[in-house]
Formats: sequence, structure tokens, C-alpha cells
Amino acid sequence: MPRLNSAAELEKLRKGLVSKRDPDKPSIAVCAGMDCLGHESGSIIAAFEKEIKRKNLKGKVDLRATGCHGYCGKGPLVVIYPEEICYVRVTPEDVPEIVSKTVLGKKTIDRLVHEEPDSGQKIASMSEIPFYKNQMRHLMDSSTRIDPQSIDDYVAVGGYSALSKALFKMSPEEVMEEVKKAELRGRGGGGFPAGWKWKTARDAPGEEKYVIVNAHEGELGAFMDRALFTGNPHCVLEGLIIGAYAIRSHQGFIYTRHDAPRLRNNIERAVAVAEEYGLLGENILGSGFDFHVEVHLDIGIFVSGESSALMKSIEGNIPEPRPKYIRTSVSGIWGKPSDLNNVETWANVALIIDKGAEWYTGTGTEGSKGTKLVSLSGSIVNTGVAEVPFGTTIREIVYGIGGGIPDGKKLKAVHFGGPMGGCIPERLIDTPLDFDELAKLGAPIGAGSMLVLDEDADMVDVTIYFLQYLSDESCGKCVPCREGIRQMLRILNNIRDGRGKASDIALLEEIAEVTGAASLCALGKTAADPLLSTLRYFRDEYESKMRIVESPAEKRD
Amino acid sequence: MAAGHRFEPRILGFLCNWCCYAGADLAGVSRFQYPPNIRVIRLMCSGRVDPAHIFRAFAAGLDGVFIGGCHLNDCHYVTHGNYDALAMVYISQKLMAHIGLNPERLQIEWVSAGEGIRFANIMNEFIPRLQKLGPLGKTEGLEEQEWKSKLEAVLKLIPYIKLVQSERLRVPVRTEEAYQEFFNGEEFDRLFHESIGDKLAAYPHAAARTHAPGTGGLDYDKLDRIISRHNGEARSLIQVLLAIQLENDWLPQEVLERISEKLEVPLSRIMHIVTFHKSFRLAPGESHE
Repeated sequence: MPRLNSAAELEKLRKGLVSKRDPDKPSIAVCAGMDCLGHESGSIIAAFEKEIKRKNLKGKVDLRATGCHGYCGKGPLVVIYPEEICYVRVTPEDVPEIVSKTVLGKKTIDRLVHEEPDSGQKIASMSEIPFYKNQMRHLMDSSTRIDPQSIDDYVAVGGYSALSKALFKMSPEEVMEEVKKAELRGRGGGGFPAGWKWKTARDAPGEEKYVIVNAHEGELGAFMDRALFTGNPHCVLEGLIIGAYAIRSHQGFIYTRHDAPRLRNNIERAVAVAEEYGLLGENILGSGFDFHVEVHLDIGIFVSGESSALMKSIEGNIPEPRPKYIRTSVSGIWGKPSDLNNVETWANVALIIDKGAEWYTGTGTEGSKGTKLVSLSGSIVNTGVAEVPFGTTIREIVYGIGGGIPDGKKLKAVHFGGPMGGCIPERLIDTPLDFDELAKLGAPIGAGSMLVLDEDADMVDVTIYFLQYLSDESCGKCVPCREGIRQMLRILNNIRDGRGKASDIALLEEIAEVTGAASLCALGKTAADPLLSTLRYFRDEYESKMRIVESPAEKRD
Repeated sequence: MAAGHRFEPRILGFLCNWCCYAGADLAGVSRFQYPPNIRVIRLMCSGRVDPAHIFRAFAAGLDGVFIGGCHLNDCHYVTHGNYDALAMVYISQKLMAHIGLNPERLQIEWVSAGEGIRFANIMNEFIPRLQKLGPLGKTEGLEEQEWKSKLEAVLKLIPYIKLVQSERLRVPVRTEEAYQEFFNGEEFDRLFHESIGDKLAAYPHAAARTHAPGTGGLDYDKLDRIISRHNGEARSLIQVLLAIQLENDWLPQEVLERISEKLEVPLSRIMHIVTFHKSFRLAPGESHE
């Protein structure tokens, strides 16, 4: 593939690709997301290849191993276009039947179709399945139509048009203004306005600046970044290049996990191919803008997702956070201004530039614009990745998309943000998904992981689980975090084992306050959040554990 | 070796400045005769002898270690360092017995500055006894390789052993009887096996592994290729380590040294990084904690 040297050449390529693609041509999309691969979607893909070869359909039927579709609980998933028939829980043995009946015969196979658990109604069309129907998929929309290894797939659905628009029709300042106007907030957990962060980095002194994709995603129960980045690496890359242009950075880093080989392969390939196409490297699309990207791998340690620790790691040092009197956007990697944003934040950038801030702010709430990817796990019927506009109530997400709680159990609480997040009880689930609303309830949205807890969940156990995780992952640099978490854990274990004292809760609150106030980085600052939020809503559970102990006399000594 | 040639044990002596060293000095000045097998290191107090000194001496192939201090309750310091020395010797002897070395190779005695004759008498007893025992490992039936690796394992565990000693093996009363009673009692036996013995049992393998020679099957060409693929810069250090671990499954010592040389990064910084991250492995098999 020769380099693209202008915006016109990119458009020509796109037109060529689109014209060659017959919308009526049968196309099979097999989900190769993490979960589906775990359920042998790899052999399903192989079975399709074999079947296509056997039936001599090569060229007549397209086959794609796509990224995660989101409906992980029902995987492996197969979607047949142009009818958009979605098959769930497919096995390799079903493949010949799918090819002959559906792809060629245009008939649906009832047994593989999604069935509503309550009514027993069969729904074949993907967009009619409640899980998909109730979402608003801006970022995930193309997940079923893109092979992550193929840049052509991405270009064909309009990819990199935002980049060419930014480079040729907008100045860096205009790009930044647009993102500021779109009120894009960081999706990694903090919810800090991305445009302002960019501005800080751009205005900071120093010629050399860096932009970074934080694809570490160490949060327990969070898997949407991985789903998005693995399935559509180019959309993140495009956002990154646009951001670099706005900040006037010429070097970017992608920081990701070493233990997700598929993610890594897809990113590395995306970077290599983008360079080949002239979308990355020297003189991008002939605009005179240079930008290079390096992929860095983490070494499986939770704290390295923290911005200053992450930057230390990129420098080749151990990932220990530093006090942030000076933001990393002013002094980051090697003391240079470094703008770090989460995968999802970068992915939104291309969308904003492409469709405009006005369109973008049309979705969402007063304080939180656009859509948010959430990962659903725990006691919920449909586990998976969903994309919803901000303002959707938690009830809609849990029941409308998630399908409610399995086995007829009652919802008890929804926990946000993994080990450093908080939970809201069942009575508050009409709260809208919103950075500020949820933070007010002590359950900040975090990166967007939603752990659904049913009536059987023991909130003290849940809290212990999270604190144990943080105690293991604390880097140990600052004492309040290292010792504070350990002591809270000890008291909690005592409470759970029936050795709690009446004064324990007050003591826990005191330690939580000091740990939060005195720790260096977010890990320590928010370590006590699960504890504080469970104390806020489920204090009686802690107290009842103590009462049980205090009554029988023999346990007192 | 010619027939009839007597085995001459090599003995290391740690003598306290105030009593035993002066006693040995007096023995010399008074021309008391004793065999010349002991090499003496003078210390300010017998309490300064660390188990590491003892096991290092044995690991270097010495056949006996002698510690001489002031009589109990006569220590020149308020700390009563000779009681510490006594506890240390009890534990070290236990360790020696545990790894199959004769604990008699280690002896502690109290000699005052005026007891030149006593020092000579002790040597005249200790040295022939060691002659009978023969070179280290001989009467114990241990090959050189065996006792070496066992001693190495003990040496590695010494910081831990000292921790256990200070936490669990303290004798509350500083009298000879209390020390004898505790260190010969069942309680000490139990505590020793619980906290040290079991650790040691598991350790020799680990020790052997950490010292697996060579580069663990990774040739230098491949290593250099990995390094140059990452620009050969110091900032790629973590990426290089990760790439090597993915290739080789663990990070052999020689490889780390090579990286240190190539990237011009001190080995200490590499060790800092490698030991900080739980997923880096310094030995094949399980990850370190």
C-alpha cells in the first residue's frame, strides 16, 4: 500500500473501498473478544473458513473476526449481515448449518437466536435484542463491522476522516476549542475535563510534549477499554493523533498490558499499518505534521495505571507515584509536559471532531456529555460491555440492558469503579449515570465497571475483598497507604470473624480519613472508598456482626 | 597425602577484646603450649559475632569456629553481649545439626584476662577433637558440594533467622540456667522447627535454582537482538526485561549483567525494578513474592 499524501488520497481510498463493498453481500462477523475467544470462538472462525472453502464461497461471502460485540454473557456471538441476524452461544458444530441455512438460504435458525427469558420471545435481529436496543452505541457501533487487523475496514466506515478534517480544516487551537466545547470528561475515573488538560499541557513551557494512551485498565471488573481498544484500535489511535496535533506533541506512547496478547498484537499492527499508510510518522497525510507512537507494556501491577507512576514506568523506572503538586500535564515523562488520557477518552475525540461539539453535547446530562462504556459483571443476567448515554438511570442499565438479576433474586447494591470505587444501594438505582451525581452518593463512576450485587452478597466481605486487593497492590512507597490499608483490613477481618469491638467502626472511619488525606496517589486516597460507602449504606451489616458476638458469653474471652 | 600425616584443622577464633583475647595473650606470654591451628579475630565483644560470620567461615571450608568471651555477668558492657553470643551459638549449633554438620565444630567458652592457662587448656581439648572429626563434612558424610549448598541456603536465610530470633527466641532472664533450660527445652525445638526448620527444608531447591549457571538457554546473540530491537536505550529497560521474560520465562543473573552492560544501567537499578514487580522471575518456575 503506497503512502497517502493528502486528504484527497484518503477520500479516494475510502471511496474505492466503499464502492467495492456490496451492502447486500453476505458477511459473517464472529466475535473474537476476550470472552468469546475463551469460549472457542477461534474454532468457530476456523470452521467458517473451512465451510466457505468447501462450499466454494470465497469472494462471495465475507468473514470477519471482529472485536468484542459486548454481549459477553451470551457468547460466542455470530452476526450475519446484511440481515443483521445475531446468533448467540454458537458452537463450531453449528457452522455448516448457519452457512447453508442463513447465509445462503436467508432463513434464521431458531435454536441459535436470542430468547427473552421472561416471555420466551425469539429475537433474531441484533438491533432488536434488548441488550443492544437500549444502548446508544457511538463508539461500539462499528464493533461488529470491523476486523481490528484491517485498517481498510476502519477507513470504510469513515475512519480517519476526523483526522484529515482536523489537520486540513482546523488549527490546533480550533481542535482544542472543539473538545473543550464538547465538555469531554476523562473516562479513566477522574472525570477531569480533557480539553483543559490538553490546554495545560500545550501551554506548559517546553518544546517537547508527550501524549499518552492509558490502556492499563487494572481495575477489577473493568474490561470495556480492552474490548474497545482490541476491537477498534484505529479509533483510539486517530483520537491520539488529533490530540497530539492540538497539543503540538510529536511523540505519543500507548501504555498497555503485557498479558493481553491479542490487544497487544492489534495495537502494534494498527500502529505499523497506520505508519505504512502515512497516517502516522513524518508528514502525516502531507500536512507537515509529524507524530510517532511507541507501545509500552506494563508488568502487571495495579499502581502503574496511576498517571505519575505510569510515566515513571515509561521512563524505565519502577512505577512509584510522586506527589502531584505539579500536574503530569506540566511535568510528566522526563519532566516534559505529558498529557495522559484513557482509551475511551481518546476514542471520543475522533467522534467529536468528526461530528462536531454541538452534536456531541446533544447527548448526556448537564455535567457529563456523550456516552459511557460500562462493563457489567456480578449477579446480572447479561454480563458484558454496554454503551449508554450519560443520564441513563442505573435501573435502566441493570434491568433494561443487563436483563436484571438471575435466579429471581433481589438487587442489593451496584458497585462502581472497582476496588477504589463505592456502591449505591438498591433504593437509589434511579440515579442517573453521571460523574457528579454518583460522586455525590459516594460511588464515583470510576472507569465504568459496574459490579452488581444481589441479596446474598455480604457487604463486609465485598469490602474485605477490595481492600485485600489494594493491600497486595499498594506499592509501599508512602506509609499511610501501606499501613492504613493493612490496619483497616485487620479490623475488618476481626469484625467478619466475630471478634469486632464496639469502637471498631469509629476507628475504621478515623483510619480511612487519615489514609485518604495523607496518601500520595489515588490508590491510597481512595482505598477506603468501598469501606466508607458500605458504611454509609450498610452500616447495620457491620453492626449486626458485632451484636452476634456480643451476646454469647463464651465468645467474649 | 603421606601415611601418618596428621590432619590439621583450620579454626577461626572470635575473641573478645577485654577477656578472652587478653587471656590468649597471657597464654602466649606465659609460654603455655597449644597447637597453632587457630586464627584469631579480635572483637570488642563476643556479642558482635553474627551467625553470618560463623556460616561464612564454614562455607569457606574452615573446620571449626571458636568464640571466646568474658565470663557471664562479667561483660564489660551493660548490654551483657556474651549472653547474646550464647543464644547465637545455641541457634547456630541447632542450625548446623539441622543441615547435618556436627555442632561440636562450633564452641563457645568464657576465659577471663587472667586465665591464660584456661585458654591453652581449652585449645588443647578443642583442636584434637576437631582432628578426630576430620575435615568439614567428612565424619558427617557430606560431599563438599552438599555442605556448600546447604551452608549457602543457611546464609541466605540469616536475616530471616535473626528476625525470628529477636521475635520468638528471646530468653527473658539473663542467667546461664535460664539459657540452658530454654535452648535445651522442647519449646525451643518446636519453635525452631516451626519457623526456621521448615523454611530451610524448602530453601535448598530455591537456592540451587537462583544460582543456575549460564543464561538459562538464552544465547547472547538473541539477547542482543532483543536489546537492539528496543533501541538499546536505558529507558527501554523495562521493555527489554519484559521481552526477555516472555522469551525465556525467567531472568537469569548473567542476562541481567549483560543488560546492565549494554544499556549502561547499574545492576542495582535493574535489581530494584526486577524485585519490585511481582511478575518478574529470577528463577525458573513460580513467581517471587
